[in-house]
Amino acid sequence: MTSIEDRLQEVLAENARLRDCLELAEARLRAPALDSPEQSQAPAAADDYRSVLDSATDYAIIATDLAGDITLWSEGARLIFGWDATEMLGRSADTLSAPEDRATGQCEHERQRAIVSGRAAMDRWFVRRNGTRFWASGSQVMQQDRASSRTGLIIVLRDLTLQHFVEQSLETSSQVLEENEQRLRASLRAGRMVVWEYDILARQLSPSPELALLLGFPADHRPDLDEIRAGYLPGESERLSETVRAALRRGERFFEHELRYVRPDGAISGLQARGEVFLDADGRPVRVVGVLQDVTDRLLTQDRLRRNEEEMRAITNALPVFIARVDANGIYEYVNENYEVWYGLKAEAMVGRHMREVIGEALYEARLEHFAKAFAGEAVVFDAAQTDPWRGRKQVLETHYIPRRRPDGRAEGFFILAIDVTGRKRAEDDLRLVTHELQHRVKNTLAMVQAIASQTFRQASDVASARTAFEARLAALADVYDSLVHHNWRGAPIHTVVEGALAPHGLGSGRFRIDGPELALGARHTLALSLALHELATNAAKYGALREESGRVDVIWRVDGRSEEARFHFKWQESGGPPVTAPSTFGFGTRMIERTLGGYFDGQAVFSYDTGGVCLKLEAPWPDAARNA
Amino acid sequence: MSASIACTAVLIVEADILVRMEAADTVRDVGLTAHEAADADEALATLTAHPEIGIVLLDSEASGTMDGLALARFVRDRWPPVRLILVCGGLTRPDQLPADVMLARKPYQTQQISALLRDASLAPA
Repeated sequence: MTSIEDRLQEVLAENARLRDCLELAEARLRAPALDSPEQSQAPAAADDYRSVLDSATDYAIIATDLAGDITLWSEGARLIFGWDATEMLGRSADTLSAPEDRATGQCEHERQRAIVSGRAAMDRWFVRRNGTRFWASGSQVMQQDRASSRTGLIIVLRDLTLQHFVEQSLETSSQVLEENEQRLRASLRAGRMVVWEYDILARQLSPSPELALLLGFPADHRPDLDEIRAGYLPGESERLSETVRAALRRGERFFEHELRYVRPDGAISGLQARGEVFLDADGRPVRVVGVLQDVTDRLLTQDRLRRNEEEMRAITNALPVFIARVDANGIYEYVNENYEVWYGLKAEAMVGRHMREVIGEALYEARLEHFAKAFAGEAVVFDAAQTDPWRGRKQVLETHYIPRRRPDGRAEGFFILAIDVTGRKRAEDDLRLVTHELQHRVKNTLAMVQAIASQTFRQASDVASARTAFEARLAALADVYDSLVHHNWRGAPIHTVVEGALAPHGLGSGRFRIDGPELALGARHTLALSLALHELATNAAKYGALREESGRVDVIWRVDGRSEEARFHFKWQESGGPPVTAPSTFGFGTRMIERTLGGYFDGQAVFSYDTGGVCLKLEAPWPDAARNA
Repeated sequence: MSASIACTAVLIVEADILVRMEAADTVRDVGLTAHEAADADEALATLTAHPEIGIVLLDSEASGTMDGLALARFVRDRWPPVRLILVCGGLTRPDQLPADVMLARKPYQTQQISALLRDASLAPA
């Protein structure tokens, strides 16, 4: 390109010289006519002139009359056209022109212009003797004598074919350049790109005009560096510099940098800058040339994806579930925090490694069948009893292998979800146990009710009294059950049991003396003691101490000895009642008290009858309360 | 071998004293002798000490070193002539029962127990 420009300059300079030369020639031609007294010298001057003309061999100098017939043919004309003067003198100069110029009257037109205006340019094609063409740049000028009469025309031509072609191609090139430039601009606009150049030393940025729109400024605004940087996020300038420096350190001159840009309207753009660094002779960067592209859509999509992934991670980490993802080869791709904790490995130590390495050979072999199904695309669910490798706790993990599928339907690894269902399993077991126990207790209670009913009616003298006694016993039993339920069927403190059993029998009348240490009774003890006290109080009211106003009952207990040797002593002593004798038959009350109390307490319960009143003594082992619960 | 020996003694194996008392009364009401045991261990000791026991009335949920069903199978094996009356509280799978056992439901129905006891005491041993 540069050489063409130089050549053009050369051609133009030549043209200028040509015109100077022409003017000089004209002046010389005119001179003899103006200087009449020197006419004698004219031939000498004419010869002189002739030699000047002939020495200008680069130029064809031709004189014609006003009709265009040749009157002078210079050596230059001979060399350029190939015709001799003898051949050309007297012929029309038009024969030298290209046929189309003759046909269109171009030759005649130029001649007339020269005659009228004194001068006409002749930049067109001419034909040599051998038929070849050349491009000439030249002119013809009017020649006048002293009387200002028009005497003829002088044509000066130069072969500038090469220059012509150069000019033409230059013109074409610049057209192409312009087209290219327009195309480039269209591309830049379409690609939302800006071309820029940064002069490092002058701190001068020269962007293409599209920069304003790209950064969100008005289209005709030309933001300066400070305005541009106002949209950077904190530290962006440093990051950009570091990107460039890092590239240079690697010995590269190309760099790429992505940034988020806050536009003047507050919206966030994503930009990608790619550039090439130019170094000076000493290897110092002096200039950066590059493109800036709007990649907002891509960056925002990336941001959204990242945010989604972060949220997914947060959720999977918050769930009390062990989550992992393996690829088609059984290599971990993702594990959540619970999964990390279970194996005691950080995610980095698992991701990228095979399951066999992470979970251990034995477990891997044990799970192989499940894995094979999952790899084949089948969903797998099973309960795995595993021991927590760190806390040693037995756990039941409800384990799911959920196959992943590629868009074409092929299986591509699977998700592992393991939920700790130990608590649920335990609750299920507990519920089963409780249901069983409940069934057992209901049956036993019914058996007990049935036994009480049967015993009551067996002893009764008439239906009415049997019914009263049965209802009272049932009520006593119901009270005990209430108390047991209240204490979660774990028995009750002995004071509560005693006072509860005697409450319907005038506990507040001051006729009872209740004395003993607080002890925890088991459920069976509670039941037996409550029912026994109910029978004792009922009998005392009917036949014993509680029948008289003066009668009293002492309820006393204590525990002697320690641990395995400990014994429980319980006494019901009536006094102040009517004189008593041992009953002739063992009614239910007496029998039940002795046998059930002794039975439930694994001890001995014995009645004694002295004149003071009925006395019941229970003596039983008391190793600890819990055993009897 | 047409001789039939009427048995006179019954062993009641029942954990609950109250229920056991009632069962014992039922046994006596039929005219038989009642022996009582609270669990399997007591039952085996009583059976060994009283060879005249011809009927065992036992709760399927009896406890001790073996449960009611195991005790029933053991008695059937060790004292083949003894008649077994098993009182079932819950659901009992028939395939777990020893051969030749009579079943009664819990809670006890005095009439049913009495009938079973009479049948058992009169049947040829």
